[in-house]
Amino acid sequence: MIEIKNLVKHYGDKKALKGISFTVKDNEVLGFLGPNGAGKSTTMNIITGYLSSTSGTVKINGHDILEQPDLAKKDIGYLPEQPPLYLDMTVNEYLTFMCELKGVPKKERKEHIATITSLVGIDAVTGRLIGNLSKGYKQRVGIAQALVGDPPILILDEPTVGLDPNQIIGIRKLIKDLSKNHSIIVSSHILSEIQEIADRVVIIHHGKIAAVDTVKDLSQRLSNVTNLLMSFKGPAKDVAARLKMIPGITDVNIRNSGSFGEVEITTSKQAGDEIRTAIFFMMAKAGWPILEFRSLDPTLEEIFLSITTGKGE
Amino acid sequence: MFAIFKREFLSYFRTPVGYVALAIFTFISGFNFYTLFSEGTVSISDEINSLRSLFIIIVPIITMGSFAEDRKRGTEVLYYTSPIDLFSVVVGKFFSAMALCFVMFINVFIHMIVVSACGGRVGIGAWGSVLVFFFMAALFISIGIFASVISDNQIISAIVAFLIILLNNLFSVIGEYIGFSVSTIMSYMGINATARSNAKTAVANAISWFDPFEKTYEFRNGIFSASALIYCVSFAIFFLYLSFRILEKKRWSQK
Amino acid sequence: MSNKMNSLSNKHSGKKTVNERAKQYKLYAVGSVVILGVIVLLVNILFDNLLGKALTFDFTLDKSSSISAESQKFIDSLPEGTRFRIVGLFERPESVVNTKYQYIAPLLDDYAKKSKGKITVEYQDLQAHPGIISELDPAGAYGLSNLKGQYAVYYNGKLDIIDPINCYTIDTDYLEQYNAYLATGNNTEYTFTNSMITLMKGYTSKAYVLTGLKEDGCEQLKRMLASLGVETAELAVVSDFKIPDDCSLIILNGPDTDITETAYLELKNYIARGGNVIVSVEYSSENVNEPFTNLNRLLNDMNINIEHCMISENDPNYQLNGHINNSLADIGPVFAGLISEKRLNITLSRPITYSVNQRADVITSPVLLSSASATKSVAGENNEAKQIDSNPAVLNAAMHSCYANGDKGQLFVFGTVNFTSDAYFSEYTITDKNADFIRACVRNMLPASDAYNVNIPVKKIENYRLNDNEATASAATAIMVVFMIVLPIALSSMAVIVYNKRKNL
Repeated sequence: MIEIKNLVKHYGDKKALKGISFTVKDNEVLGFLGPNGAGKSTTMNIITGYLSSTSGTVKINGHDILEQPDLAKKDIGYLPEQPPLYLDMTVNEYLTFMCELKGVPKKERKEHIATITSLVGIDAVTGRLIGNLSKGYKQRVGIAQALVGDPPILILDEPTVGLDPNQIIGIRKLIKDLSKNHSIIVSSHILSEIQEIADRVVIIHHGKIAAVDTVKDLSQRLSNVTNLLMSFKGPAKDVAARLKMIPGITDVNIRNSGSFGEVEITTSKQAGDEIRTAIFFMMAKAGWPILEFRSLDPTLEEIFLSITTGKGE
Repeated sequence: MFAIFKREFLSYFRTPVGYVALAIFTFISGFNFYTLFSEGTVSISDEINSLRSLFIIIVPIITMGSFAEDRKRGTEVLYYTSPIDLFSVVVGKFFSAMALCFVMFINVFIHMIVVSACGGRVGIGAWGSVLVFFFMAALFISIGIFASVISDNQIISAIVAFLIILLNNLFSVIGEYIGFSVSTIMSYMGINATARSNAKTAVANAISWFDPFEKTYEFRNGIFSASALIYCVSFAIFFLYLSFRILEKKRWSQK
Repeated sequence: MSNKMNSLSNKHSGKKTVNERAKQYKLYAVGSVVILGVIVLLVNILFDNLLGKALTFDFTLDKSSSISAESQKFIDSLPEGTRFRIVGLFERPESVVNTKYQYIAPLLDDYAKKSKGKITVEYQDLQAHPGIISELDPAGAYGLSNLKGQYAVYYNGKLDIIDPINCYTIDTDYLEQYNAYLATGNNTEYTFTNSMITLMKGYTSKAYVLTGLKEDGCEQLKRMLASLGVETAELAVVSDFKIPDDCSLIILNGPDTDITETAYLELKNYIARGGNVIVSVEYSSENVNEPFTNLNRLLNDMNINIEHCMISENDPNYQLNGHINNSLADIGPVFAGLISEKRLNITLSRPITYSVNQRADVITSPVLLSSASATKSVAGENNEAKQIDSNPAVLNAAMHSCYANGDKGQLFVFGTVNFTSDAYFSEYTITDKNADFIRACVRNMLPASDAYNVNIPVKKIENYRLNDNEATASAATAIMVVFMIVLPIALSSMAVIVYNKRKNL
């Protein structure tokens, strides 16, 4: 259980975090979502005790990270954005070192390492030099490192960044497996990834929490808005004007106003699928052929926008 | 602390660095020993004392990477987020460098055995020099670790360590010079000769008080003074603590 | 207005609370470093200035840098206000290691430290401080201005000049061979303490060493005598040889030629008057043909005779390193109480026997006796000892005579020079058991010297010479090969092997 209250972090005049509070329950996967530079890594660094907050508290299973750092850190396994790997050690040597560092009793070390390596799927490379491993394996070794000492809480900062799709699927599966008996915070800037693995999502933007929600609620909230992209042959201005008249369309942005026009259409979800039919007939009637017509996945920025504006309402 | 010590110490021997350093030390000490041996008179303390001048090269090489390297690799996060004290990390690294020095020093122990076997004398002065060697190694290694902490760049760390150790080598000389210049300045101010010479001595003494070489000088004769060892140890502790505080600063610094 | 101020200060304090934690950390970090720095400095000052001397331990060989209990006893016995000035007539060297002051300067510092101001030590370069000459020697009696590198011990207007080289026993063979000094023992404390005692008490008696007889050197013996309050002078055996009235002891130290007729008469007269004589001779290559006829005439009168041959010790228990001519001898029963040792060292000793005609008024007793299996031999070809008497017997290596009625005058005759000669003491030092014995003999003869008896052990010199049999050129080559070629190459190959092996893991 992690309790975070009013976390503030200043770097000189820059305010990286402006008061963040949330809790992570036992055996819950919390997705930590935000664009680059939003303060994800800073928050995680503060939770793990790497940095101290300017103000605010972090409690790990009841232990304050600043007041009882040893007890708190014992319960955390941390995979930073750059995995802390010694490239001149073999996987086995490295994990043994981590066992020593985290105080795993000598008798249990061998078994413990064997369990972890088979769990993260690196048992085939334990004798190899970390520097010689592929990026995916390195990332797994990084996760293995976080698992050493069986901490009940795992904090994984962008665990899938830079991996190929196969590797990403592997890691996601691994996190799901681990979530059975770990509380996990996973950060990412990819929405779909978080949606897939997290129970709950914290969205952070400009050092503030934009939303804390279950994945279900979040998708529902997101589904209030749908953006459509349409390319067509015709005058963009006229098209936009006509489109705005269709009920259910809240906004139209012209992306390209050449001979081949392109507009982005914002609709309110209540309108349902009928809106597309309405657009089609309107365009057909006007004699503007539709070249491409598809719905747009919302970008993170849009989500924040929508969430923050949604909150405002 | 032991985990850090073990990793750091073994890492010297996982890469060629440790072996090469050992080979160089073996060769230089061997040359020293061979020269004395061929003359038929071997004073181990002379050998050790001349080996002390290698500190200025060896210590920066050993210590320059100790923290700078971690920062580069991103492994330093382990020290901050593991349930261990940062100070014990500093101490672990310190002892691993000391242990490497000890391994190098095994050469000299072998020389001692050879000397004894050849009917020479390994007197108390030799043991005094051994003691001084390790206490001064402790002082200089702690300085090297401090240099490694204050800079992200290994080369800068090495140069800083080199300069501080050089300064240590030159305290007496510097003291003399500063004392001399003080007395020169005073002579322009029209102060009489006795006062000038007193001031010169006082300044020179004050500066050379810091000279660890002078402090431990008598050990080679078998006169052991606790204050010289305490000087080395206390300043070593001070530098290690300072290093620890600088590392810790990264946590709370707002910069 | 005041509202505005309030809100301003609120804003300010609000910012403050936000930064409070970092400020606290900073304060704590800087504070703890400063406090530790202060503690480090204080501890150093404490140990340096207050406890430094108490926590300095002298582990040198024989504590060469510390004064012994004997000197301490002497210093403590000095009345309050006594002041000895020890002045080094040169600038103190930065480093005394490997100089002749190596064992002197630290010891003198110890004198100063432990004398509570009774002894001061200073260094005054004569060029830089010419005033010191008139200060120490206003009359110019000691020629200080010609000195270079000596020490002067000053007490109450009196001066004793000590040459550093005299603070050591010297390997005389080495000096002869290489014309360089090789110290074998360190007399520094002995020299300085005795110098102070003598300056204070003056000499109580005077001994004369006869010269001109191709005798051995006796610098070490002189030093021993000085420590007993006996001043030593040389007395040449010339045609108008005359023993001065102030003489209380005559020493014949290993002459290679016989004494003259004049000397015989004068010495006979001297002994008859109650004079003390120590004679030591040996059977060496320089005097194998010398029967010492005149000397024997003198000694025969006191019931003693020197034989013209050498003692060969055949009992392995008495031999030193298996040598038949370098052995131990038992101290005779009459003298056994003089020192705690039971056996002393004799080399190339002539047998000393009772003379044919025995005077009843003179008591003669053996001083040193060989084992019962000793034989007499002479130098044969190639300096081999040739046995001339195959009956093993106890032979005397030294004898003593004195008057039965208790009159003054004693005679010690040693068949070996191991009790008087520099050759022996420079090897074994003047606190060797033989030295102890001769000191005891002198104290016996000159009761006044008993009052001195400050016998400070001579300290050993660190000697780093290797055994020449082991430290051969081939051994040196082996060392070069092992330490400069084999090991470095082995270590370098380890580096390559480890690198290659791990690289491909």
